[in-house]
Amino acid sequence: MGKLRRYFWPKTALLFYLDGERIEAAFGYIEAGGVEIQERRTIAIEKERELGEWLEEIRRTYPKTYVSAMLDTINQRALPACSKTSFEHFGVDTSLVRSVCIDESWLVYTSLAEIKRFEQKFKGVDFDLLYSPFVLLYRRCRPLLEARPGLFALHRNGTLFLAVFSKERMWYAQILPVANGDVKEEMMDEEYDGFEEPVFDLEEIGEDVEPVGDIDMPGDFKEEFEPKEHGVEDVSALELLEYNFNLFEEIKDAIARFYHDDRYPKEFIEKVTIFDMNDLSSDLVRYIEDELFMEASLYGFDPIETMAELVAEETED
Amino acid sequence: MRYSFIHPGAKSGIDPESRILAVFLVVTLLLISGFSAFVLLKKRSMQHEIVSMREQIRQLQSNGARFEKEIERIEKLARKYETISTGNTLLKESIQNLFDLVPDQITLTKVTLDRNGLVLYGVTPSKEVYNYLLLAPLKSVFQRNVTTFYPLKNGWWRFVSVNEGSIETGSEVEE
Repeated sequence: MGKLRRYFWPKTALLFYLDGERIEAAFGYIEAGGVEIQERRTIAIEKERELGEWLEEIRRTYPKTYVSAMLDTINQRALPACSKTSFEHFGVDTSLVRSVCIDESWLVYTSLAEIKRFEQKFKGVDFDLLYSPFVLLYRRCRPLLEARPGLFALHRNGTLFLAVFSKERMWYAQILPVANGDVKEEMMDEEYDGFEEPVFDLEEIGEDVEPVGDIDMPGDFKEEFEPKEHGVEDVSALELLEYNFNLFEEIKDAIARFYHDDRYPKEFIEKVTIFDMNDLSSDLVRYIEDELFMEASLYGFDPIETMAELVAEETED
Repeated sequence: MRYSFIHPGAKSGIDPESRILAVFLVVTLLLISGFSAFVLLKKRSMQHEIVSMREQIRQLQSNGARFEKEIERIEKLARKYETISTGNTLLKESIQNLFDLVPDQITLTKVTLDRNGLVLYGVTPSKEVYNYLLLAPLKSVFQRNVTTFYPLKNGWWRFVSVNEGSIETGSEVEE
């Protein structure tokens, strides 16, 4: 019956999210309980028109295609209650925002202007569903929720969506921009400075200087470059280390803010769970465990998988 | 449960080509059903017409029989008229011939002509004149001739001549 339905009345979804300078998109059939992904594409952000063309191509075959995206704008927040007084309590002008109440327990909101700006960024794409990263985080961590609150964080390169959830409620939420390590730039600057001030004077050497092509073989150059490449790897490792440290610092500050912000209810946090969309190293987990004496864990996170579940639920007939 | 900031609009499950095809099919079905309904109504009306035409045919057939009888009657009347007309013509000619037979010397006072024969009343100067000039031709026409004479004061004779039958039977004269 399902195959027959798919053949005659197909319902499909195009799911995508922005990951730095590229768009990760997937297309699949909406089934009961999820989306059966048929194709995944990675599109460079400057070629975003390709996404519109792909959607156009899909819609020609499957008119009932839902377009869903993760709205990763910075100006969105989550509040621990759905009531109108909750907005007043946190000083939010409701006329400027669009909100969704989740599980009749907490809400997430974003500014109307940002939704508009996000939609305008993808010309030719008619959005059907826009999900907040907080909602995706909640959906992903729901099976892990316990009676005591835990800190759950969704990491995307440069941004951390952080929330405190327990089985019953949402306690706290915040978006934290994470500073990238600038080691590479510093090193590059040093190399450049070195060229500005040569260590030897060509005029003093005079006519004894031979053309480079006469004295050096390509193999010699290779040997000279090898230590440099090692240097770049070191720079990357340093950058990652610094980035992890910055991330750790942000998490530490966020926990401190949660404990000291009087607008939020207080409860002790023992667990930190991080869902990562990129390639965070386990160093971060180690930092948290060693420095904050908290139980920490790191999981991979694919927004498309979580969106697929939500799209299937929201488009049920 | 809602999770998204926006709601998906109503989506058509049919692509434009299929929509055109579906519209075409619907229109075709409508036309076919309309045509079927028309045929059905026409059939019903024709059935009614057939019934009424059968009734008309039955009436016409009965009228035809009636007219045939009438024609037969009229033909019979026409034949009868013809017979009478012929008879009358013949009678007229006979009378004409009869008057042509009467000589100038004899004066007829009354003539009776019927199916059985001819009765003549008249005045003759003499029996001989009658016998020679009138009786002779009468004998050639009628089978039987009986003539009765009555004398008049002036010497003339009143006569009554009764002529009957065919020419072969002969004639008879009485005084």
